[in-house]
Amino acid sequence: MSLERNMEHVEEQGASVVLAGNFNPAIFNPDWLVRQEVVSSAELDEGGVNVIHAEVAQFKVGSLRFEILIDRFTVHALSEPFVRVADVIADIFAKALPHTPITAMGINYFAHFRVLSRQQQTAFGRTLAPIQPWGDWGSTLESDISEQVGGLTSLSMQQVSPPDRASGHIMVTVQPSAHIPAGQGVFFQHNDHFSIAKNESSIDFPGLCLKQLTPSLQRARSVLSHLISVARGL
Amino acid sequence: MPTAALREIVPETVRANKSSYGFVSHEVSIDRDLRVVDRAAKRFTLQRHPEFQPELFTGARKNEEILFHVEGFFKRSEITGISVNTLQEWQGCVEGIEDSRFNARIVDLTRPSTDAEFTTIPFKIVDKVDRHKIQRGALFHLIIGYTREKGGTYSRKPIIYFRKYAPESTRIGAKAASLLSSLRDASRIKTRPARD
Repeated sequence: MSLERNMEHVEEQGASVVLAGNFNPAIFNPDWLVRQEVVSSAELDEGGVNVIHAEVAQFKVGSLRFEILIDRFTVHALSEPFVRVADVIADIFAKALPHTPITAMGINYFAHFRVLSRQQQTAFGRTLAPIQPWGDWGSTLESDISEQVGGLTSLSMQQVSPPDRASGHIMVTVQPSAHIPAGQGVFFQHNDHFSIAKNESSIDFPGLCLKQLTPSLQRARSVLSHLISVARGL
Repeated sequence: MPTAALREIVPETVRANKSSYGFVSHEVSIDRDLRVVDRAAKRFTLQRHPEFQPELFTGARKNEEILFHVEGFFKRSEITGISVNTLQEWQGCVEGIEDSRFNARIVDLTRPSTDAEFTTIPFKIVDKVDRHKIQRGALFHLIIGYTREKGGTYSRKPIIYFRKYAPESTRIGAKAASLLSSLRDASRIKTRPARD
């Protein structure tokens, strides 16, 4: 089945970029982003500040949500175009604050997709994590009451050292969805991690984000589409 | 939430535990004017401050106490226009501009195996504030999917986003560079005459 048709079953999605390094949360605020031409002044109307402090800043501007700690910078795109996040990272860390020390980057995508029934959700969990290897205890996970059937709560698969980077990994996580009720949803998360290898002195992370964000989202949606096909085919 | 007022009351340090999706629990340390009574993850209790503003806090157990519910304070702002899904996404390059539309060569990112194709896009589907970005050679993304608007209604409309920065050609970004290269090559091809 095509990716387009599989994506019809997605009910919520989002993307974010996380940078690890040394940051000064106090300088980040919506007005500063406007002055740096990262966001437009019109976007200030839709958003708000939760906290801005020496050690933590959290606010929303338009469809972007920012969370800054002294060792981590995160920008979430709550709605498409997700690719905008790469431009935001470039605006801030290549143009406005080019000397910020950054040691690692994660490009994340998540989605919640709907399955036809709780039974199908359980069958999908059993496919990814069969209960037979768990022996006698595994058999106790079954129940005649559908709400009391046990099983997979979280599964992560990791690709070690993908060929397109000197250091990093790709991690895909699947869980029952907490957003889609009645046990009819699956949560999917794709984390693309890039870090500085031992033989590298530094990485142009804003440039890397510009290059890798679209391929990362393509890969995430390809894996997601396949999992939706598997789940809804059970 | 009147954050400025809160910053006045909670002067020095708010520490937040890290998690992929925001804040899970919080710990506060307060200077000598405000004493932390309860370091629970869900809420903390401060001695009443002279500038105490009752509307910021609820559930005081004693006169000298105020309760600040951390979860409520840090909860996500109301989200409007959230993406439900992305059904198709193309990356394109503007090749020619006419009165009310522009010609572009586009690549379908949701079907990577398909060839680039030419298309004509009317200005009206580009946000007015972005129309000055329609310039020959400009890179853009065209996205189709469902969005949940304020009030819970769903809409399916195309989004055009013009990139500020183009991905450069490097070894790491081979796939993106290949795509960009094909788009740049395409921009050297004479633009197809627009259909009447």
